[in-house]
Amino acid sequence: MSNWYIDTWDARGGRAFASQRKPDDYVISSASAPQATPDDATIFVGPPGFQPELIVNTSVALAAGRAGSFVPRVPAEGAEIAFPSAPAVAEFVRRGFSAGGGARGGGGEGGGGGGVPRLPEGDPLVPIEPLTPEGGSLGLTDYCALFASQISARAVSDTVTDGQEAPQWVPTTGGAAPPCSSRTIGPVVAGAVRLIAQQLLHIPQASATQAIQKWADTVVSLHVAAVELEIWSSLQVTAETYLARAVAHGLRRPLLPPPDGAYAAAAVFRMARMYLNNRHVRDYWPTVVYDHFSYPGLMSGADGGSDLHDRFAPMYSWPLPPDVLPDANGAATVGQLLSRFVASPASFAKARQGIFEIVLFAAAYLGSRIPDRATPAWQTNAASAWLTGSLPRWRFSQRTEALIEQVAMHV
Amino acid sequence: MRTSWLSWLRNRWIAWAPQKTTRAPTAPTPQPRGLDRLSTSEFDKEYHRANEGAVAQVMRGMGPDDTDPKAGAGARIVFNIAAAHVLSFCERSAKGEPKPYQNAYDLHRQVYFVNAADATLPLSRRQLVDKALEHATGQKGPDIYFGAIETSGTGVRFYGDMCLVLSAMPVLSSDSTKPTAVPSDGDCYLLDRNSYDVLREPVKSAITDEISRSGGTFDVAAGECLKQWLGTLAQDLVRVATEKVSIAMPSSARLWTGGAIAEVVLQDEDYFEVLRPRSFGTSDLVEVRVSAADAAAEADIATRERAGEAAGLHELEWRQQRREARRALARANVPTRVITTPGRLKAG
Repeated sequence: MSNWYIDTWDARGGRAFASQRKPDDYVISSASAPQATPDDATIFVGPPGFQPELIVNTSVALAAGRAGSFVPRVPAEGAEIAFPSAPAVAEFVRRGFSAGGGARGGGGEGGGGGGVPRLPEGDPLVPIEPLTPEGGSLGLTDYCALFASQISARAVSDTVTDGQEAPQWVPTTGGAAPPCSSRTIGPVVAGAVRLIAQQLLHIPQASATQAIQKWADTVVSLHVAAVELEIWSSLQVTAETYLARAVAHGLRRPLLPPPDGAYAAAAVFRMARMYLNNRHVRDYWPTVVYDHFSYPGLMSGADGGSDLHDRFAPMYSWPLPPDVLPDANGAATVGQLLSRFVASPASFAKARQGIFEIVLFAAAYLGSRIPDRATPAWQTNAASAWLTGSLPRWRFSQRTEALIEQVAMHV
Repeated sequence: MRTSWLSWLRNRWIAWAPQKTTRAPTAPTPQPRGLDRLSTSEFDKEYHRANEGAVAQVMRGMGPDDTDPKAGAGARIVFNIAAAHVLSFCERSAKGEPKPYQNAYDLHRQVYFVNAADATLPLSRRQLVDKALEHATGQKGPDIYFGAIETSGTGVRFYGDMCLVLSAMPVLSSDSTKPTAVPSDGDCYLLDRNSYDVLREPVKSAITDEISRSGGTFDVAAGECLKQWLGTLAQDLVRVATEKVSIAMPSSARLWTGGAIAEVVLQDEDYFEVLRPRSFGTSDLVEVRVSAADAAAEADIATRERAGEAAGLHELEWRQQRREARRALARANVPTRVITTPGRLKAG
């Protein structure tokens, strides 16, 4: 049986036509008639289902190449990619489509209502030293090592044939996750801590109205995620020391002359009020201000066009902490990271645990409604369940994997 | 006294019946009587004429008894694109770029092909068909933007979930009392089928046989074939639409409905191809249509997302793209409409 080859492909749109034919069968001579071969079996693949759909008229597939969004050959140069089956084609198209989300934002009009938020630059009060996780004390090393090993198992090599079925994804059960205690927290909580601390450390200047609005949207959506994942108590107690460092940094801002100084302090306070009940907050601020900048006031400030009930779009306004950026393969937000991770997990096989913690936090939020929310560390199970439905089901060669990664970079 | 439908049919039959001639009488033909008349071939012809008129009315955006087009109705040129590309299309339109909608040549995708200038080298299939079209129309591939004819549906779904509907009406009213005007885009070339059909059986073999007999090259022979399918929108759309509907719904003593006509004009993979010699932007659109099936799928994904019920990333990405597309269109003052009943004009 012949392999399948893509006739036309719209990577960003997630649409493709493929035929069961000979490779490079797309050229014919103008000087002589094309060979009268039987018409090829042709399929169409598209979102949201990405199920191969048999079509009768090959002309429809070929004509797609006239539109600017479709490319007429995959790849542009070199041998055409051969797929052993129609489902393998569909998986390739699905992964390329998922990778496309990794290119959203970048300062333009993107998801989450306004593009990738930029961290303030040149602010003398933003601490220079990165707020790195205290790996061992958080008790996450073993868990993330397990996660990384599963990702590595999906890595590819030259010996892998395009369209080979991937090893089954083994959900990381609650048993594999470290228990929550006063000294150890789960990876989902750790991911949340990283992102929340990031917000505490980067309060926009009061004069930057647009940046303030984005910051408020980010804070609120992070808070909603923390509530949904029921990690509020972990954030308040277990991570207190960690977050308190960020609050301490942020509270230096009142030393600035008003109005920026006053605003920054208030903003930090509101954030801290949400997540902490520590002395930095209690001792520093008068009760009247404490009430004024209460949680309802912050919630009512969310007006950036995002729906509080949406889960995916706000992730494009969650900036990645600087200390994980070197491992993020070019992603600047959690939304971008998640898209690139799901499309090409093998490219993150050597990433440090900060990446995995943030991915697990985001994945747990997207799939939070699992049946067994009463079990310990259920958040980790929720993350695994969601990843199982989104991660690759087929393996491809390095050459093909590189093509998928390019979609995230260059769409 | 009110005339019954049977009396009306009888009167129509009498009015249409051929007049007596002075020719010598031939063998007597038994005349149908009563309801038997309904099954005669002549009566079928009368129905066919009525149905032909119905096709013209649908193409002009009018109901059976209308004299003016209804808003949003009638044959339109449509282009389907994926929601992912709507944002950049709107941005190019807002910037006033000359080609907001882009074809393959605009994006310099020639790199995917070998050099067409060297006749000894093989051509891509698209280049070959473009050369055949150039032979048939005189228009060069880079100048052509390929669309489809649609009445009230959502276009060719394979190419994208957003159906961009041009506002131009290629077919004007036949009312002789109204001033004559050249319809917008009426000069566009129209093919009654996909031009790539020249590369598929049975046409491919027919062209091959012709070359064997008469010599010549495939692109020229294919171009001659395309000429047989070619017309212009203003002059030929009603004719080719009537022919297509006639094949799908053989002439019989039944009236075609507007919805049935609309569904046959663009049916699944089978559509009329339009060769528009210019690009377009958001200001050229009357609306963007999305299918009810896609809208339902999107709503289902949104529900699962908000409930945390594990919608996959590809589903979330698709929903996000569609939402961004709608917002971009709204900023450009282009309405987006869900088509709940293809073939009928109903807002969703």
